[in-house]
Amino acid sequence: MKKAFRTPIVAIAASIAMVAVGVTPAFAASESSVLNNALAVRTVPGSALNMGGSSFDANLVNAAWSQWKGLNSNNAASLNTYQSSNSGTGRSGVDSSTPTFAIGFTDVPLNYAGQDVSDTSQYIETPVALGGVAIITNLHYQTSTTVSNKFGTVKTTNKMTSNGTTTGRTCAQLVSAYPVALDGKTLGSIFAGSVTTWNNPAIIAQNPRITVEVLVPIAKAIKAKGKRGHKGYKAGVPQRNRLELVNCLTLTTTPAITVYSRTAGSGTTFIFRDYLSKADSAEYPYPSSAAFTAAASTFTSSSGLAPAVAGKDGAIGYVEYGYAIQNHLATLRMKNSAGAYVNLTASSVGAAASAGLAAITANKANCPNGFSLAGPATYNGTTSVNTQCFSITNVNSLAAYPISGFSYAVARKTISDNATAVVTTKFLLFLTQSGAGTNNSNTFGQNLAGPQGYVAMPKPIENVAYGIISQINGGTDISATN
Amino acid sequence: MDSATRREYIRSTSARSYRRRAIYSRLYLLAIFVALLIAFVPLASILQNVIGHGLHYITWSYLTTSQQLPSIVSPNNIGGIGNALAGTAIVDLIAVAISIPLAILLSMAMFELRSRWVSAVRAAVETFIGLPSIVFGVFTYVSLVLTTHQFRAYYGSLALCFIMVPVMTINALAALESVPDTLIEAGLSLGLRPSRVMLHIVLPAARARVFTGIFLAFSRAVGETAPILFVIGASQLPSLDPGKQATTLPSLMYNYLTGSYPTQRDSCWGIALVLMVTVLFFNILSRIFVARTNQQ
Amino acid sequence: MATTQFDSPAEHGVPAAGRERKFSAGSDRGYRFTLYGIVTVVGVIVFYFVYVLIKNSIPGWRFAGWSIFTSSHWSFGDNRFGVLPLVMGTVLTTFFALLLAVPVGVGAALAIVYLIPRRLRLVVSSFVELLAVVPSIVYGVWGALVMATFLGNKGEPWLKNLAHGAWPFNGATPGYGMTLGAIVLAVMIMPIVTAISRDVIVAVPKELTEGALSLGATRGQVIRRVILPSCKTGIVGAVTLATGRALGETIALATVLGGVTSQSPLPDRAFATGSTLAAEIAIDFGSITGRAGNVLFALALILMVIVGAVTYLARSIIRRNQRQFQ
Repeated sequence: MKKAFRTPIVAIAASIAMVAVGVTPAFAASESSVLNNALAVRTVPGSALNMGGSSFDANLVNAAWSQWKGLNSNNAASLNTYQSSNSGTGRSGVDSSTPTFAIGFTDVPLNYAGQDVSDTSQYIETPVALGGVAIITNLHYQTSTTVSNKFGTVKTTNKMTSNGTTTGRTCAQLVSAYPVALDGKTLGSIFAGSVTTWNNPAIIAQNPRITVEVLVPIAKAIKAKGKRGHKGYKAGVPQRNRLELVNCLTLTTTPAITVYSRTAGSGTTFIFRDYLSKADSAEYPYPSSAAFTAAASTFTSSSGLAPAVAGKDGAIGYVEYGYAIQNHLATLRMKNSAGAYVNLTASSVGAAASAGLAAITANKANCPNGFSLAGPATYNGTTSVNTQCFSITNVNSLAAYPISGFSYAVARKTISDNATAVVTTKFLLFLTQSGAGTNNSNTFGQNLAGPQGYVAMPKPIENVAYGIISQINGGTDISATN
Repeated sequence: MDSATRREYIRSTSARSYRRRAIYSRLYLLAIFVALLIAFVPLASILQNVIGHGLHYITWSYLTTSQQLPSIVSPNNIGGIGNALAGTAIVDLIAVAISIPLAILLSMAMFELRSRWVSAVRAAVETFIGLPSIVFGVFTYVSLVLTTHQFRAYYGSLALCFIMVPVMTINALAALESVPDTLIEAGLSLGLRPSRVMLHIVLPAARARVFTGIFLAFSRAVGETAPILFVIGASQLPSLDPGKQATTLPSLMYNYLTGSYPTQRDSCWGIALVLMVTVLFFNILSRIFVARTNQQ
Repeated sequence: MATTQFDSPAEHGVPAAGRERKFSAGSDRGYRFTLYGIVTVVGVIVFYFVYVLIKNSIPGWRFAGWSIFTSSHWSFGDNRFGVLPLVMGTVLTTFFALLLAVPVGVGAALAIVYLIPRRLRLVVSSFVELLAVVPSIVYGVWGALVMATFLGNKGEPWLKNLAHGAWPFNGATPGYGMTLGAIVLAVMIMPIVTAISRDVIVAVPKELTEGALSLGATRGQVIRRVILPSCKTGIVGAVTLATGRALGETIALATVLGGVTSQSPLPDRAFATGSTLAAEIAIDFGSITGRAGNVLFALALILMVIVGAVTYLARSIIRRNQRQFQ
């Protein structure tokens, strides 16, 4: 089957076609007029609404909010800026009798988050963003290396060359051409604390191309004996060296791996652990949003983790891709379940989404409704959780980035104040749709996904979101006149 | 001097022991000199970083334009701190407007009244000075924000009052008690009512010291972050409306410090410079009044 | 933090106002009414403050159960509420901050009084007290942006090399952590100690020093045996103020401590990360409306109890010493 879809574009298009058949719900014919209407708020609610939560969505929601409030002054007065922290805060901010958020953002669906939401049937939950979790590292390599053995000492500086077709490149140049690659098992061991140095054989075995040549002494220097020209004079022999191949990972400036983690409650951790539960199930039996105990330090938000990695030599961490771009951090290539090592790019995350959705649709036995966030009735945080109806991690597709995931927005299903309901509905529509077929298709939120480090959600998922948002107040606020 | 020391002095008057003692003394003096140098190192580091990294931010446009949200395509677009300056002004001025009369009246009450109830309140006020400021933020949040579902600038002012009023009150009380009794008795014997005595004689005499306390408390409140961070919300517009949300210099610095973009984190230094100059200004004012007090 | 001296008017040779003066505000009805009114209003606010704190902490105690005191597992997002790591974090950071700041502060004060020429004294002491004026958020910025990278890349590896990786200088060196927290706290409280010590040292009567010097004591002996013992009370007072500030410090520590990762009550090594009661309240504030949020009120109460106990203990030590001198 794989050979028939050699080009990724054909594969993506075919998968979307397959998914569209299974997932597309029927919706009102006036969808484009409803979307046009979502661009402007007519009645400003008494007090501006607050929203916040997961740092995974922060970059996209901030950009969409900036765009939306610039369209109309009523928009600006209706909704306050996004407050980024973690998924747990997003859910608890919407819950409780005194909610602080009108819209909370979380990467962990409500039914998988334990006890922190009292009654999940009172809320709607819609996908809003599609992104990848980047594994960020801060590695520097020595530019000169001194080898000492019983034959002597020699230093190789800046003339380190590499073999094969690539010559004359330093470690830094090599690594930027062939980013460090890891598979799920090794990555899991790093975050569990069993792999503690960058020159571990398991890591080196997966990075054969980043080798350089280093001079190694193989014969001792022999001093000249006697005076030149006299009897018994023996000439000296200089030390002999040979170029040997050495992997750059043994030449890092700091060999120790410093692991940084998010604090418990992070949705980014949930997506990462969901991947680890499939790729390294021995060490990670089930997904959760618990912190990694082997971490040297924990951070409440990705916006704190990324600069910490940037400030510590030899550190490793995980953040949504946008934060890696903002802080100019190198990301690892990950091995997906099809066996290919893939960089985090828009197309690799998009491939993960389409292949994942295809797999969900094909899984009619366990997911009769297709893509769905409804989970187990009770979840106590330790039983094995089945995420198969919404998870797109570790999908079996050659082009897919294995640590991809959706993020979700949570809002109340019944909103008593009409102005609040209208603002909530309009902003969620603006955020989750790409506006194809409307007058201002370029302004809608999902078009901002690419520049912000995300991927625009596939059209079937946009339709799912539209259907879910229409459930607010029974869909009475979704009209062309409100 | 205790007997052990006296014995040591008497025992150690010989020349050899004097040399030893002189060496120990020199080492001791060297140690305290090194302590002074160590005390300077962090100050030098802070000043060097704040001025070195922050000075180039101080331009007119930085101080007047409002905060912008950067994005991945325009990561340098962070705007200025105009909204934070406006917010700081409104939050702190309202806090001062409430705190000063309340503190002075309270100190007058503690000065004049002698009941057990008043001493209990005085003990409570003295305890409040030592409480961590986050506790006041938590209280304001629960009692005001959660009941009205709003973030407002004047909630932050009220939280700051909890910090400012105890300091101002205790200082003002000490100032009132330092006024010589004779002045008060002279006023009373002239037939003035006690309130007039207080208003026209005692308060003007204690004026300098009261101002010391006011400026000290104000310079501390300007730099406070924990109590106001969660009650004033955030605002990217420079509004002077106390009923709306606001951003102050410390809250903006906290948001930028935990922000995503390196440009945001770097501009923390510019805000730190502005904040330190403001706090220093009021602190120097309070020292001037201390000098005036000592002159009296 | 205010460093004013509340010297009693009795020192000026004037009878303390109010002690001997007859209470005569009785004749001025409106005046007395206003004053009593203000005191009542403030008293009501204080009561309401205590009431809100206690009332909101009760669901927290119930939600967390007794394990809040016995468990050592603090993980707020996972609904694990053992406060022992937080309490030990508060105590340890304050203790090590005092260990660093008090010798340096007292030493600097002695140097200012005895080594710096008189004319420069005001300038030098103002410089050191400048640190007291710096707001805590600036300390947070300095700690997170400057000291964290310095400690993580240079300071902690150097210490680790010095000890050859032996405990407690083993393991990862992230920069963030309890060590950084103790250092930042030490820098914050050192100017308080210096300023108050300086005032107390200057107040020592000159006859004492001159007498000792005339007996042949060296300057070092004079300082150690004469000055410091007579300043004991004042220095203990300074240390009390410094401890109070260190225990309650929130924002500067919230940005540099790194969070609780291990499940032991004490940090397991020098470079471990951790958290304190005040910093944890600030960090988890976003969830204060959730079911777990009431636990934060319980934390606030525990913190207030600790601060109150330490202050009371210190004040009783001072009072006992004062009684000894009399």
